[in-house]
Amino acid sequence: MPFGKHSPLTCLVEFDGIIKGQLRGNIVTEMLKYVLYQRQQIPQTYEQLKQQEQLKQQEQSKQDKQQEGETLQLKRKGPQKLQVRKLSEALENIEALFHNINQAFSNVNYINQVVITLGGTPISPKETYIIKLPGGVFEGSILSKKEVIQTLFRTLISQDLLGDFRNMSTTNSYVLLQAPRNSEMQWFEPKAAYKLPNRGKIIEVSLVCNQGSNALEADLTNVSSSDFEISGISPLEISTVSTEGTLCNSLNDMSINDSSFASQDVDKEVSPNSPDAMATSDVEGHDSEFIWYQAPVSVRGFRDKRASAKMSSCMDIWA
Amino acid sequence: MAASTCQKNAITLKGSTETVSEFFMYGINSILYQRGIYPPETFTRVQKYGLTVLMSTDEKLKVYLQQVLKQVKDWLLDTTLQKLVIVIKSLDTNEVMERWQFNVECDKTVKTDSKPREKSEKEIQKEIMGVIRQITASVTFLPLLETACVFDILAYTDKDQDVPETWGEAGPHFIANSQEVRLRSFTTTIHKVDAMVAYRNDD
Repeated sequence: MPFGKHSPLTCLVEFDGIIKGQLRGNIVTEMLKYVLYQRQQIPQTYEQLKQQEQLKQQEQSKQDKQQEGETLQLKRKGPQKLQVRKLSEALENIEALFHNINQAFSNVNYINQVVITLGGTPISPKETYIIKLPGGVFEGSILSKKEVIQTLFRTLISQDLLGDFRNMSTTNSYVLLQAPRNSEMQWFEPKAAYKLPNRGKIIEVSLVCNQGSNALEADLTNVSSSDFEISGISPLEISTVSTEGTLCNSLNDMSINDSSFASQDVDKEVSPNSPDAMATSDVEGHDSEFIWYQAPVSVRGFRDKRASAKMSSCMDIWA
Repeated sequence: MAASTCQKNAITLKGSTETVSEFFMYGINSILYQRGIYPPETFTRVQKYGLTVLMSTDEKLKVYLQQVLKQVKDWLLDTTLQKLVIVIKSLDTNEVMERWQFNVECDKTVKTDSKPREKSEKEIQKEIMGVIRQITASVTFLPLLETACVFDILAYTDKDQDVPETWGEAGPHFIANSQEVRLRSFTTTIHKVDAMVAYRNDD
């Protein structure tokens, strides 16, 4: 992976259990919220902005009712109006991203990496956040959304990865998903030539599901690729194999594009389309099968100018 | 507030006291907003530390916090404050749900007439911004407070301090079976503040 002159900041988040498909999408949307707020692209957390927007709408509809029958005059001053527009636009784009990220994770089973870039373009960003999603594990309890999100953020906040970063000016945030070339990805646009940036700060968050994986790894070292017999699992939920030479080598012998795999008895074969079997650049020779898909909208960062206007009066109250 | 006693590159005991008590004011307000102790519509946005911080407009709360922080300021100036703890309790059961602890290390060698310590205001504000940001982000991992809650403020001081009239002696309000997450810290070089949050482990 091209990381240029700066080595990436890394954070390993370990989960004791299985993370099911849709939850992987939730992880990405929560990470996006976190990055946008922590890197000052939105002045308050997404939830707070949303709440304020709702309160504003309620006020507005009350005013509209009161003024029914009269000519409605927009009384907001110019800069405030611009501020409201920026907030609405940002929220609209964030919501579009959330919706489509969740859709992508529902429709495509093999998204194994997500990138959030902050900067003018996704090719030369100031900061790149690489989220390496966990492969499935075969055994273990299924984690709830609450457990997953709490573990993720407890780890991120305890490790304080972004704590010493300099303040950042407002810029554009882009989201890219990595999935197989032939996947039926909608809304996101394929960017086959996209390579991970080697400039700016790179932050790599690796999510790993631990439970059951050790037992599996031990078994895999003793069997050939044709001997896999893994029961009770979804065919597309295969554990991480990038660190296991035996499994990687076995998988290299299989043809990624061999459509006959789709019809094989999945309980007896590791699906080559699994996120792990196709563990991107970690599996030699299979890089080209995964490509990046870019979200067609970006989030334009903005500052809260309305808050500054209120500062003096509020400070007077509290002084 | 703190600007007059915290020059650009140096800080006095008085300036440090102002800076730390001001942090407590914004920090406590942030916690009360984030954790939904008071309704969101009773808060207003202000710009501080390069952040948008939510401050309460509830008159009773403002008076209460002003009283508390006036005393806290005295302890900071005497370098006798050891901890400030915000305890969030269930209104119905009085059970402690969350405990936000700010450990304060005071440099007791510094007096009001001591030479200012070198540390830029900008640097201190940046460190404080990091703590406030973490307080805000903590909502992502803290359990939802499902019942109506109230809060208490506890102060730990040096043993020889008299208990002020408006304060009473209280227990530590620990949480049984808790999870703790250490947050960032900041220092003025005279006062160092370490933040952490403890919450009920329901798992």
